[in-house]
Amino acid sequence: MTARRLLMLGPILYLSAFFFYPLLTILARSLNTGDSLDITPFISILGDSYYLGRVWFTIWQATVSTVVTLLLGLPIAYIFARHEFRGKTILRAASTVPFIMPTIVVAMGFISLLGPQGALNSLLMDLFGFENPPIRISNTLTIIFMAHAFYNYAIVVRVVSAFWANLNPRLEETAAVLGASKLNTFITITLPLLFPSIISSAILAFTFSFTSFGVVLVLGGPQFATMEVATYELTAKLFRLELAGALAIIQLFFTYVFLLLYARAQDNIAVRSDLVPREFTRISKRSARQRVGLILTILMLITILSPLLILIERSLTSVNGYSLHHFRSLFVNADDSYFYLTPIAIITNSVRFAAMTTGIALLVGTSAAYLLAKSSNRSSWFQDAFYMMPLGVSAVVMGLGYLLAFNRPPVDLRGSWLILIIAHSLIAYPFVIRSVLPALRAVPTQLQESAAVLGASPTKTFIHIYLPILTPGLIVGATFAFAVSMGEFGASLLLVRPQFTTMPVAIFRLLGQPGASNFGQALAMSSLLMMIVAAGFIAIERLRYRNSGGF
Amino acid sequence: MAILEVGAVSKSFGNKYAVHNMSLAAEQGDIVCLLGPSGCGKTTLLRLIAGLEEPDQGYIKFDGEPFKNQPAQDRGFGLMFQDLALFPHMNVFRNVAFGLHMKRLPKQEIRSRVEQLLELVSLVGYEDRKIYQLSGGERQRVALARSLAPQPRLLMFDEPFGSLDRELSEALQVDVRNIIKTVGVTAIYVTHDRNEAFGMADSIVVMENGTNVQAGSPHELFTNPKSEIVAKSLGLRNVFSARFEKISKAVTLISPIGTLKIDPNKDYAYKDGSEVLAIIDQKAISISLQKGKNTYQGNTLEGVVEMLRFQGPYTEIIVRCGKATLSCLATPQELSNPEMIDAKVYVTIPSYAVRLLSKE
Amino acid sequence: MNQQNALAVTATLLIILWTSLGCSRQAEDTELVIMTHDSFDISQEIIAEFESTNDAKVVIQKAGDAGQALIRAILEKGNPSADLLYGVDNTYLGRALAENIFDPYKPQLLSKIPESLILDPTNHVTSIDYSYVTLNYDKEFLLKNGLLPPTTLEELTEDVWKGSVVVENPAVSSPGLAFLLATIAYFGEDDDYDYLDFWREMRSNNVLVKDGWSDAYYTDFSLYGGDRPLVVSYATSPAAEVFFSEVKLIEPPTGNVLIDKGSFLQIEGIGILKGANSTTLAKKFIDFALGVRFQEDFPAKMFVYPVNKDAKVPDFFKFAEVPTQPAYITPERINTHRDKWIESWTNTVIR
Repeated sequence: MTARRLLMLGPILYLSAFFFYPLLTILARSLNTGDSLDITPFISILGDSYYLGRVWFTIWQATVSTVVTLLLGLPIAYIFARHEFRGKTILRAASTVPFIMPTIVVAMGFISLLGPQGALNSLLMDLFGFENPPIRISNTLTIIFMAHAFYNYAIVVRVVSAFWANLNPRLEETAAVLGASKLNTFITITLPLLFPSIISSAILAFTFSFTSFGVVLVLGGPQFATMEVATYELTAKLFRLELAGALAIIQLFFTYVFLLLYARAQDNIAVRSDLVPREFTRISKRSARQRVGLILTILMLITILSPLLILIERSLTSVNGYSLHHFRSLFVNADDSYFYLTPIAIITNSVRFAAMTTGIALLVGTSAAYLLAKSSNRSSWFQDAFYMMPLGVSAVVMGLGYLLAFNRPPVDLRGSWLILIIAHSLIAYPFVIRSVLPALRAVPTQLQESAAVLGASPTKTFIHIYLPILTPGLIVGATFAFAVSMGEFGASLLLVRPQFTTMPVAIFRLLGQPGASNFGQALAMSSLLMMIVAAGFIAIERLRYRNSGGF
Repeated sequence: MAILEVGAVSKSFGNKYAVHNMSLAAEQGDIVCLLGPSGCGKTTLLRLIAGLEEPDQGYIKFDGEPFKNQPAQDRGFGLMFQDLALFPHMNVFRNVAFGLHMKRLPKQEIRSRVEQLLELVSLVGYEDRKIYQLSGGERQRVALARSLAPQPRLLMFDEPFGSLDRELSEALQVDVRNIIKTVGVTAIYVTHDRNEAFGMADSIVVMENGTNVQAGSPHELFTNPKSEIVAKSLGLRNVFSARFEKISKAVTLISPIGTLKIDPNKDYAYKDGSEVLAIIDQKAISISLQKGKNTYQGNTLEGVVEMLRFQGPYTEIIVRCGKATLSCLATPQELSNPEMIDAKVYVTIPSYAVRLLSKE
Repeated sequence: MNQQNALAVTATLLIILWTSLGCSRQAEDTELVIMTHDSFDISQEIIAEFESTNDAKVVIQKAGDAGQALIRAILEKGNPSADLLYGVDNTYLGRALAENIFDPYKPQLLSKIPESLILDPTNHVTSIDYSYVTLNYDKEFLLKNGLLPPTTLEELTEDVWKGSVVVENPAVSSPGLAFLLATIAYFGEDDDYDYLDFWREMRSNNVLVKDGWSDAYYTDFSLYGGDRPLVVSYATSPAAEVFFSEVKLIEPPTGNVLIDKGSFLQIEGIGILKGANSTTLAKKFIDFALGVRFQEDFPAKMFVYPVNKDAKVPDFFKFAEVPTQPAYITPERINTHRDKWIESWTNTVIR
């Protein structure tokens, strides 16, 4: 019983200390103008058509982005779940790389591909003799949707394919034997069974688009400001902390409502479906149609990745053709800068922080998911949404909260790398919850009971019964925890000292000054980031629990 | 003419044959059991017939029409998997109605047909139950009703009772057979359990290594198994490969349990040195602690008791004779004594107890 | 799992708390913490020199952009995590002074700063460097299209420059705000044709607004693959292009659009935060930062000009044409009107 209680305490304690305490500190500070709490900021925000417009815009752009994300992600999830092909491991690792790329780098990739002087426009102009670039999507809503889908489709791919791979194919076959066409089978059987994992990934994609900052800031421009962007404007430039605080609360409120709706929906549709080892679900022999589908989907994936591939190509291009010039210059502190760090040191920072983040996120996330799976009553909706809240909070406001909350001895975390890991793990652990929970809920209670009857202790039950079944979910969770930390930029820029510079921060700094060689080095650092992250993803998959028996 | 014909079908995965040169035929309304150990290709054969896999070679004809890349949904067959594959997100009604919905039947018709089927499988009133609320036996019945609902031309079962306890499984077998016979559908029934096969089948096909080793009615197979494999898979004990040595007045048979003398008058084509299958009836063997005489009416062999298995009215005594063991069923009390283990005994095999089958 | 997992979480929490104890501040005047914005850069050698002369350790804490660094200092008022804040410029000075976050200090080398570059006569903030925010143009693009750089700001609202300009959002970007201030100085606030009229026409002339300098420069400026040949940047950017070029250039690929009052003088300073731990060291550092050694070091790193008139700029600064008549608005006036200006601008250009 004590163990159970400690387990319950863990995530709650963690959340209270590192989420609610700093959040309340900054909100109290920003909203408390006099002695009493003031509600005028809320009235000013909600009474201002501009901010109301931002709220509405944020909601609908996130909705559209999520739909686009799902359309892009599902076919790719399918091929990773059911097909075996050469290069699958590398392709799967690569497919998740976009998730972590700094927005400015992604913007450069999009521009290189689709910009007025980009590859596609040049090609079309050469082929069809257009006077002007035919494709113009820079700084439009379209490019925001594309970018959100580009960032988040990997969530759908990973979360859904992990579930899909273990979905009993007999169900679909039975439907076929009973006279259902391929399409009917997909609509009536596959889709409903995948639904828990689909909406699991959709809520993550939605939340990310909902709190989107960098994408909108860099690719869209100020006319497309989301609530998060408006919060940043209010904080960093207009110094209207009370309005920023109010807006942050409104954003958090909406996130909570969406998460609550989601948790409710999830509860209604969760089915105890039989999961089977992957060996049984793989397509052993492809029909011609399946082969064409597979090839088309892989081509689609490569198309999605092409903005990054173009950047890699450019990072390897110097004045005299292909060379490692930009990579080499990263190793030289040409002008004796105090802030120079070797790429090795920067990579070490990033990987170390990401590894620690992953560890914490797995611990907190798995315990929270376990608790959620256990509590079957309605309170679990509220709990579920509660645990997911860190995803909806304004990063700008939260950053300030950390500075205020942990600023006095004995807990003065300002300038410590710990603050970074805590901040990263707060965004990372919800991924673990979302990827572990569907599998955890699908575990029939009899399984646990039969293990208990066979004399297994709770620990042994976990290791021998749960762990193998949870492994795909844990791998997905770990992948994203790692990714979140590797790609995180805002907190890294704000909260730590220069010797802890991470890769995205280094890229941002290089792009802070004009000049072709800064540009080249930034691309080289971006290429390194892609490679390190892909290698990390592959390494995480290797960690797969040995006796997982095909799960 | 057989309604279902499978002709020389082969299917390989990678470089391994799952089904190899397999043929079978089923008569309209018959229940055909595919009997064989796990991994012998039974399930793959079902999947080939169902259209879930395409054969590499050979043909599958139904009602005289050969199938050619016709997908499963167009064959009008039914298939019940071992794990039943009930749709967990649907209730009992929607599971049973699934095939009818796919046929786009009118709502009213679907409703009455589902009710009719639930009555057939004795699950009236279960329409709104969730799948996970059902017991194992109830699930089998739902799966059966679902398979029967679209009135399949052929119904296939892939070890549907494998996961149930024996009693429930036996009760369901009787029910299922009655239901199949009531409906009059042709059925193929895969199992590795011969008792299940004997109980269900009008005819049995014994499979081994992806191919048909012998087919026939249960009685035909039992009385005339053509190979050790068939004999063993029918549950016959004391099956030995043997060889004739000398044919004069008495025939000498060299078998792993020892040399046996056989009455030469028996209606059998003896040939010096030819291989036969010798099957010795468990119940006809007698055991004693005293040595008897070898005649061609009976051979007495020396052996050591290896194991005793109490089986209610009988005790099975396993006796090691020569290079093999002999299973005998005995009633005498003294021999059922556990102290008999390792005792030296003499087994007498009357010659009428030895059945000789030519080996194919 | 439960036991181990819960224990591990608890242990992690304890370790985090425990480790953080070690992070509390050092004793007085042995460590100097400087908070600054992200663009700050200086040579190792210079910091090492200060450290060895004063037997102290220098820690530099970067806190995002200039605005974020300032809001952090304001939030930490009374319990600052740093001793010095470097990077308050004339666009934010009023705000900083109003919040009263600095202690005044009159540096010994104050006389070396020309009168026109004195940021704060009350000496709460000491000027260290200055720069000009101005439009840069892409030479090759203009040449190809047979265009000459504009000579007045009004020209930008004409058809030739339709869809040619990218500016930064003054609500979030320093150069963006500086350029807005330049247009206010240029067109005036209440004239028949004031700055908002100009921006209204700019909007219909398809001006592109981006939130950050990096985005505007590296994704929309035609030099780096965009389609806009005119970008709001710094007067030193052409020189930086030469300095950071891959092959040695003999002339920069970009040029400054030099229009009287069409560029903005940005002066950046440093101040001692109230409640600082190491005030003595902080004062020494301000003096050091005004010295020629320091003043001659940073121009090649930050592409800004030193305020000390004795300090020389690097040779390649010759590629940076200095605006002779930059716009200037007093920090007080900026402070009074900034929010209103930004809001009006936002209403005109974005909403």
